[in-house]
Amino acid sequence: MNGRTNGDIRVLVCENDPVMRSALSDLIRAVPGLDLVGAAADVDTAIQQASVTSPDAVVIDVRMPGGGGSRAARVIRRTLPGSRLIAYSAHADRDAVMEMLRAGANEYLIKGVDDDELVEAIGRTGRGHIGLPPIQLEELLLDMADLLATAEARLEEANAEPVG
Amino acid sequence: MTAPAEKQQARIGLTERRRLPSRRDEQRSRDLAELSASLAASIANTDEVLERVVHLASSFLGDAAVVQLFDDDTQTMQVVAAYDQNDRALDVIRRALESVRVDAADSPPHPLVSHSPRSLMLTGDQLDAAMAAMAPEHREALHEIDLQGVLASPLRAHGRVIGTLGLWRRGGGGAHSTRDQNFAQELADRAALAIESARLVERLRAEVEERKENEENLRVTAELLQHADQQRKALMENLVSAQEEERRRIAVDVHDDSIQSMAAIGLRLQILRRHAPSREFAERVAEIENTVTESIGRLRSLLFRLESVSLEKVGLARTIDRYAAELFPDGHPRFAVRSELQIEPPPHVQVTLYRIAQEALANVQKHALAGEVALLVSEAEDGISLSVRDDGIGFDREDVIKRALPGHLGLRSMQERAEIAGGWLTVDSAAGSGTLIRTWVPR
Repeated sequence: MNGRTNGDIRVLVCENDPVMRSALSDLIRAVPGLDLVGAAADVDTAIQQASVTSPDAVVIDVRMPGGGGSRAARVIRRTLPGSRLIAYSAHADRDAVMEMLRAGANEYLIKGVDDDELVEAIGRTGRGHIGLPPIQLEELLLDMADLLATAEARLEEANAEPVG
Repeated sequence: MTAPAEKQQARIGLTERRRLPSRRDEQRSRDLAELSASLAASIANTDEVLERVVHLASSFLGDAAVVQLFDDDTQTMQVVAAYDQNDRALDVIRRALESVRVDAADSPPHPLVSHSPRSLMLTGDQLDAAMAAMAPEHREALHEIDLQGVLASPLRAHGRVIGTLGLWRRGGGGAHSTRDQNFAQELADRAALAIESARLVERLRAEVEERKENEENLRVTAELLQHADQQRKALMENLVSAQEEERRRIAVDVHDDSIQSMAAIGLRLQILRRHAPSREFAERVAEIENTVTESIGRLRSLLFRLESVSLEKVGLARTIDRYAAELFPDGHPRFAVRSELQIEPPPHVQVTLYRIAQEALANVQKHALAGEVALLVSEAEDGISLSVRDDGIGFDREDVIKRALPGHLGLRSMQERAEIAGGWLTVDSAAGSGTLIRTWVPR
């Protein structure tokens, strides 16, 4: 399946900054068990390479030309529902984190902070694990609570409406 | 034949003459009534009053009538109105009078420039004496128009002499009589009151005008001030948003370039560590990695200071609280941020106060050695006030500024921020007794 030739995890890198892209690519090549299948510099190339190579994991920069990392994540999540999507960004503001999570990212790592975790995150298997930057947790929870409250209110509204 | 006729004539003449005074008295009463009525009609206009006085006086007595009024110094006089049927004669009199350069302070005073409350009849030698003060050509001209006498009646109002009404008699009619003198004084008294009233009305009117003008000026000034204030506000908002924009741009650059490059170095070090030929080598690399991570951390806290994005999301007090939490991660000094705001202030006010709070907290961190710092944000007088109080070592403000000690730039920039926003900032501190910074900026 997934065009896998051996047991290696096949990784696609989407990163517009050339210095970062080449460092990331070299790191993935250097880690045993990881196999670099491509390195895209913009969203469209990322989507195209993903559909061609069907990677197990995609490292996605949040700020990328062509619609941003969230567009890449959304499209890839749709075509490859089983892939691990790792948002990897220098920006850790709440909006960016929320946007990437909504687009289907499994992890949100911050460049320069969570670098050690990157390899681990790529290699993580199994569903249900979502990695979040700790400094955002409080706000994220507040946002979630808001969303939940809104959703519940809508549900009640819908239930209160007379049927027929 | 002729004699009885002459006698008859003489008798008639006598009878006439005897009857004349009473007729004349009647006429003069009517004249005075006419004058009073005429003056009453022009109560509010001094020039008109003066014109009427000289016209009527001239027509009643057949003389050239001249009104002279004392100047404000009450010493010198000016001809302010004059009338005679004969323009040339009037011209001669006017010129002659104007050539009299004497004032009432002279001793003896010139009879034509006098504060005396009694009227004066100048004929013969007295007239010649009065004319001595004039240039020869004027004396000559007065002789030519056959000047017989001058009756100068003081214009008396409220116990003061404000000028004179001069009646200059020409031709063969002979000099003025006592009756003329009394009549002229009655004219003068009425005229003086009318002139005084008219001048008073004019003064009041001028005062009212001036006050109106002042009020208008005041209104215009108020409008200008308001306009200037709006401009200041707009400029300040532009300035604040330009500063924030610049900071945001720097922040983006730091993110996209500096942090990114450092992170790439970190990744490469990671590769190096993973392929380390020895444990010792790997440890060395790990040390460098730690340094890189620390540097990135510093860049991030610089960004945190540069950015103010959370102001619009979580508000002023919460953003200040976060900043304090970031600045004092180990909880020392203890800090408390309290807000009494009902609603969030406008963005430029948020930014100004946030930047001031940052500076104040940075000073506490760097210099104060405080155990506790308390911040309070509240509404005050159509604006927002912020106070930052610490129990640190304090400082002597003059000393800090004079010796350009560390922190003096911070103090100045805080003050400038507040003042640009149209507010104020005060620093209360003394060595050993903590510091209280208070600031207020208008909404």
